[in-house]
Amino acid sequence: MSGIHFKDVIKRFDHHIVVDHLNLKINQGDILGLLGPNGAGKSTCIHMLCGLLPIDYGDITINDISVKQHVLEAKKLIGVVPQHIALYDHLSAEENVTFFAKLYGLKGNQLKENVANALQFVRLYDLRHEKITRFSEGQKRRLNIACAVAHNPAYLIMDEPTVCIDPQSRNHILESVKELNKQGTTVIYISHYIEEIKVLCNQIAILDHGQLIANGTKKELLSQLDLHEKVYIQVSSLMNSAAKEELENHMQVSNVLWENQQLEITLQSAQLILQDILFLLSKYEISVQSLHIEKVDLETLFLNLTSGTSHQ
Amino acid sequence: MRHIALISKNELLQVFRSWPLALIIFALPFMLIFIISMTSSVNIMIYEEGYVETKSTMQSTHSGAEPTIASTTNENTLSINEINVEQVTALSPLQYYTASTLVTCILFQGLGAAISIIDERKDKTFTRLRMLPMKTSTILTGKLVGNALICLIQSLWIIMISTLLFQVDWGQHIEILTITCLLTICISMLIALHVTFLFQSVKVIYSFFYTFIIVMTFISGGMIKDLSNQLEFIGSYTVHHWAFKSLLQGMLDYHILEAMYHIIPLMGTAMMLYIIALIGYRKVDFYK
Repeated sequence: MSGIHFKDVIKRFDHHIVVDHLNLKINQGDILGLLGPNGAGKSTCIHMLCGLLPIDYGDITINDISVKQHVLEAKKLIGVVPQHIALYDHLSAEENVTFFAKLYGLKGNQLKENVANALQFVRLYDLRHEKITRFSEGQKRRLNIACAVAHNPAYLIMDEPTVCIDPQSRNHILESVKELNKQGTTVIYISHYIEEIKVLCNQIAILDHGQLIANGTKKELLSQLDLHEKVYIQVSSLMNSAAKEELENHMQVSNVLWENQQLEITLQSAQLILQDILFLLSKYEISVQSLHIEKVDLETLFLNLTSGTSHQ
Repeated sequence: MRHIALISKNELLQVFRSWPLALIIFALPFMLIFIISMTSSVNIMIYEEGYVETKSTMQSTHSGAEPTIASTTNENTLSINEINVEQVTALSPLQYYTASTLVTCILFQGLGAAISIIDERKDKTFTRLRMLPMKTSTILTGKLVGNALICLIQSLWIIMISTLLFQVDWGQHIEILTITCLLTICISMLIALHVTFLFQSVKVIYSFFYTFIIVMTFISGGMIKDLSNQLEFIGSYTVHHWAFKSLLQGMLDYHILEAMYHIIPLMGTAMMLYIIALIGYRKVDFYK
């Protein structure tokens, strides 16, 4: 069975449970976005997957290879882009990529070809002979990625790869991830930027207190929750009881608040009934001065599930 | 083996591409030996009395800034187990202090290895290496082998410049010199490894090495020859003492079996440190 499988994984630090009975399956070809507040256990999961930390209970399998029993075999299948830039200052860009690729066992022509491809992939081929001390933060981040992909891993784990970089470099990294995924690489992407996860990932897992609290596509996650959108309308008149009652009776509307000239309507989907609301208001000769829709998005979902908490 | 070779090569590149480090490795020993050679005439004055008293029992020595003090007899009437003050006088001060400098430099190279490991942990490259398909012991071995090679190059440099530029005679028994240097390098690297297990701060490691090595060099007679009996007694149980005295025996053309008196404790220390490292590294939390 291909893919990465977390099977009832538990990790404790002293007596504190950091990862609590985690069951998660990442299918081959997916881009999984791993979300969670600080201290939720995201990095611990990744570090167990990479063999940095022992697994206390349960197991993680990569293409059915147990990380617990055959960690070196399992590690050969993955490439890791660490959260921090982990490169050697005394080496050039090309030497850095070559060093890591050699440690993955690449040799000869294949090594040269893969190193060149990795550098071209992150658009640093022209700077391959430059010492990395002359590189910008964004260029270093891209080189950090090149070092992780040079051996063409089946699974790529990216731990907040876009921290502290400019929007251009971020866009380039996101494009690179999409491109890698098109070529068949399965990606686990950890980020605090929900926008990135939204754009990039077809599967989202949310961790909190070491537990998996949500897992699925964005659509699936939003439908699982009874979340509502809100429409704020600045109207010309004070409260009109008849209009309010009619609004409240609408099937899609959950609640109506009318204070002074401010109307707040809580509903399932503003897109579906916005026309109905405007028609109803015009029927009572209430003119609309301004309108604002508060949509339910991934961020609302995330904050709702995790109660906006940070555990560190 | 391939992984160890790659990591060792990276260590060598790291040192030789950094001119301050290369300067310390090559220029510092040269400067030390140069200063010793400049002050050697003063030292000879100190030794002259002892030399006169003991010259009939000394083995030949062919070098030194003051050839008139060298003995011409080939008889070796010294005890094989120890070299006392009188015996040392058969060596030129330049020989004596160059041997001490060599041992001190080898031991100090352990500091380089320790700093390299700590820096790599700090820069997160160590964590990245641990994510690759190889064991942590392989990474550590690679780093230590790399630093041991640097240490070996530095030792060869010291022996070469002291022989060619300052006419220091290292004796006829090259095997004593080789074994002593290799064992001291092993011990130095293993001390470095243990220190990184115990401490995470570069400042603490610096303080530890400076204190440890300077005190050890001093009490083993590597700085001042005439020490009190108590200090000499304590000094006789140090790595510096065994390595230093073994080198001096080599310079005095002792047979290797006679030099074993000092080489065996070096072997024992290296073995003991290796075994402790094997047990200890599994308990180190590299994740911290």
